[in-house]
Amino acid sequence: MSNSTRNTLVLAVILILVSALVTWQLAALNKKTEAARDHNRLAQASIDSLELQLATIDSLRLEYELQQAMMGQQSKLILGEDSPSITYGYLLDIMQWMKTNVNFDFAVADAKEGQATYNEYILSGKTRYANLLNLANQIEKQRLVMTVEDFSIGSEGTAQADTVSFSMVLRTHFITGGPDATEIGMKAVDPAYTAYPLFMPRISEEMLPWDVDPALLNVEDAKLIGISRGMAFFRDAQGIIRILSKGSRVAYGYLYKVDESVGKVVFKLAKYGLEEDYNMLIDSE
Amino acid sequence: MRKHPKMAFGISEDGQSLRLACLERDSYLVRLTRLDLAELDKPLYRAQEQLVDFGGQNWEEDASSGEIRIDDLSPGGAGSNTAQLDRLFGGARLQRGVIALNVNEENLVRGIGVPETKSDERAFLRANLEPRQLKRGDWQTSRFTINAENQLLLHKGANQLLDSLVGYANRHRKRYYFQLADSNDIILADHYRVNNLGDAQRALLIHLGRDYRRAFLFDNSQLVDIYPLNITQELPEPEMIYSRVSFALDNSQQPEPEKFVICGDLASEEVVAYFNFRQPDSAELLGFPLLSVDSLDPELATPVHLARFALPIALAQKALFPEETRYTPSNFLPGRLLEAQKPFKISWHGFLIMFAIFAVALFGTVTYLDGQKKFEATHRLQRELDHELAVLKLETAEIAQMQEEMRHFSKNMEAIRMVLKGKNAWSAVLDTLDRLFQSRPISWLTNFKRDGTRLQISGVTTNRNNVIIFADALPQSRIQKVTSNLVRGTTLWNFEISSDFPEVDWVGQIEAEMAAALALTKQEQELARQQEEAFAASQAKPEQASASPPAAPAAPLQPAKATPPAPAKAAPPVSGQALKPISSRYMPPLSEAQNSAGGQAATDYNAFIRALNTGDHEATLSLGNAFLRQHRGHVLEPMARWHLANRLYRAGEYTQAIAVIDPLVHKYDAHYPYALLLTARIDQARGNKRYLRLYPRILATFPDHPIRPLVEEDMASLGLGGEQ
Repeated sequence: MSNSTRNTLVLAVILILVSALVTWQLAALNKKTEAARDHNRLAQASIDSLELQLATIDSLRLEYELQQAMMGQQSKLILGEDSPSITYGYLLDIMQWMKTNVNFDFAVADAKEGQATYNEYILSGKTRYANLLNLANQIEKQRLVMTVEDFSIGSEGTAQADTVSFSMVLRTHFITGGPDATEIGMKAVDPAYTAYPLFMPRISEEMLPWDVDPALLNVEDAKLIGISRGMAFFRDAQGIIRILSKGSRVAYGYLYKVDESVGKVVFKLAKYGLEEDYNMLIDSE
Repeated sequence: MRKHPKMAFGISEDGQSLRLACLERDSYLVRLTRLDLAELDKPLYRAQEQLVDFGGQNWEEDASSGEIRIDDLSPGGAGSNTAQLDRLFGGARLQRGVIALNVNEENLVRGIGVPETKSDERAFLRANLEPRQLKRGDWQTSRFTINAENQLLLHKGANQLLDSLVGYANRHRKRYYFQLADSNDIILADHYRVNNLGDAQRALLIHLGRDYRRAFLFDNSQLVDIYPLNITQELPEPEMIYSRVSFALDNSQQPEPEKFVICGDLASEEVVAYFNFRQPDSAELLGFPLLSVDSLDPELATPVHLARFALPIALAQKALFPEETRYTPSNFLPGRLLEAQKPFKISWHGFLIMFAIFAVALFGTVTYLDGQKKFEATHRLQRELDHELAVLKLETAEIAQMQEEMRHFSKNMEAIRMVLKGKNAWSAVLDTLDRLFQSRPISWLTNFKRDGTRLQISGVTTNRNNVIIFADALPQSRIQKVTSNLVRGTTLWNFEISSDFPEVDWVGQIEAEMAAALALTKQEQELARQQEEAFAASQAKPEQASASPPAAPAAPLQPAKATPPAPAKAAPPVSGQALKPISSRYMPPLSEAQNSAGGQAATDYNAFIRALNTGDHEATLSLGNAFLRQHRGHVLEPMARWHLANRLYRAGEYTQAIAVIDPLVHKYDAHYPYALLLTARIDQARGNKRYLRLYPRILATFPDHPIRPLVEEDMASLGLGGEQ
């Protein structure tokens, strides 16, 4: 091979290399430029969007201030977190704000797990109707979002004309980011209309002595509606939910056993002079 | 031709002998490192017709392609001399240096007195060359001066020694570099002349080769004449040599030389002794005093041996010093061979590709520069957009925060809507029943409960018409049962009614509250706007009446009062605990730039501060708002903004106060900590829990700021852990 041919081949290789280098450099530069242009397009779109936002900042600020004012008013709030202690404390706070007292049994109805957004509680007891009405009114209208899922009231008869038995199934709702219970203050709520004692009997038969304490649960008229944490929930003939635990007294006997695993309770009753077991299963209806 | 070779091989052909000498140049020292001799079976020139064809393809005959290839130069072998040639060339490793050859006298034509003009030389060539040979260019010329007389030497025909070397190189895949091919006359004359400068004696250099036998007469180191020696014997006696030399000298009619210098194949001590016998102390062997022979075999480094290698040594020396100008500039190597040996030679296709490289490089450079320019423009735009975007993001950070809180609010509202839908109607039902039963005396309820999705009530009344009225008061009601009972002489009617629950619009109530708040705020804004317009109108009238008084020097700016008096209509905080007013030492001080401000802005600012200090609430609001509207971006704007916000805060107008102070909490300057503190106070006063975060943030960010005592005092008052 002659020198000139060899040199031509070398030059050809250099030509290829130069061409490849030029192509690569131009491609890289184009890629860089395109990337910068894409970036600019996105940035311009963002700028347009932000400028649009800035143009509406005054109206947005006004709306925001209104919302802040609304939040400040705390018309209705969902708690950030709830527990039986929080709900029970809140109920006591309500009664303190009402400057009255309602005696009730308090129990957690069911343990909610996973994505639950509320806890359910049962209140049961006897009180003056006016107090009960005010309590329900406050629960429904105060700032904290609680819902009364079930409410039963039963007259206690002529002997306690101004007293009623009641039970209430209550749900305390909560949501992520909600306020703490301690941040929630009292809201001025119009008192309930209590001028008329709705459950007071005006005419009744002559009072006869009771064989058993009428306040005790009559097992034969009651339904077992739930068992939770060793407590059994019964609904009596008036629809009032009674909360009993092992050893609680009932008409003619006591609650002997609460079997949560099979949903069954056993009473020891001595209605006819002989103690016998009375089994009751959870009413599935 | 290589300019500074380090090693040169001189190879001379003379009859049946080939002699080789190798010289190495080390700076100024020249070493003779190798001497070798090959006796050929047949001479290369004398009987060419008997030589075997070297491969059947003579390079001279095939050089019409316009470019010589080394491969094509090969005669293909050296016939019966191959073994001797291979031994001679193979042992020398010729590729390490440059090669110098002699040319045979048979191929040389001498032209004496040919003028140095192109036309005369051309005529000489035409006379001595075949037209085909002339056209093909297989010839070389050189000029040689003998006693100031110019000789033109023409070499034509094949150089058999060169062909042999090329053939060997091709057979053994060697690449040799041919530096020189010269005639014996020139090389010997040059060698003696260059190595004996300053020798004033008349000297006769006698070369006694196998075929080449000449005498060179020098006078004062200048070549006077060259005499062919007519010695026909292959190995002549010294007497014969001397007589032929004397005969040649006699014919030349030149004076007798003072000394005889003998070299060549036939040089020997006997010949020198005979010459000295005839002319005492007049003869010597050709010596090489400038050569170092240390690396040569001692048996070869004898004067006789060296004198016999005079030709190859002279060739190698001339090839080793191409820069030596005293040598006659002659070279009989074929021109095409010289061209082919140039490593950087480029032919037309090479130039074509070079042009292509240039074009590609030019195109690439121009395109790249253009692309770079576009990229830089795009990059510059990118930087500008990024900067603008960053600024906008900072400015809209407040928006993002507001939107986030509003999203949360909306989410909360939606959750409330979902939770309360169709719930909590109990107190409403009982309220309805209470009022209804009160209007129908001697009626009461015995039971109130939920039965599935419906409400179930049972009660007693003395008038059974009431049962229908009770049922009608409830939605989707149904009278389940009505029974009579006589108690103490009165007929009592026991009834049972079921109904749906009434719908309570809790969300509607919340939205109604929002609408009321919105209306209230709009009303306040409208009122403020009207007040500003009224104030502006009242200010415009005196200005018109004053008929443009001359501009007075800027009055010194007035500091705000320590505790501006609370306005008459000041409202208590909505839900926060009241804090002490901010004293003047915790208010932002006027900076140098603000103090040196003049013009209408300074006048307006002073008027605003005067109104603030006098406790004129309406004038303060009007002047403050007017200042902010008319002097947006002025150096005094932050001060006016802070004092106006403080006044609004004291007046209980928290929404307005927040709107006024808000720009200061988005700009990090000297007013920022004061603005943060005032914002925290306003938030606390209006019941916004943000102040719980703001107070610790002020302490953490500005631990040594003058407002720290007030911050700690506020925190202590609010139970946030500050000092009491």
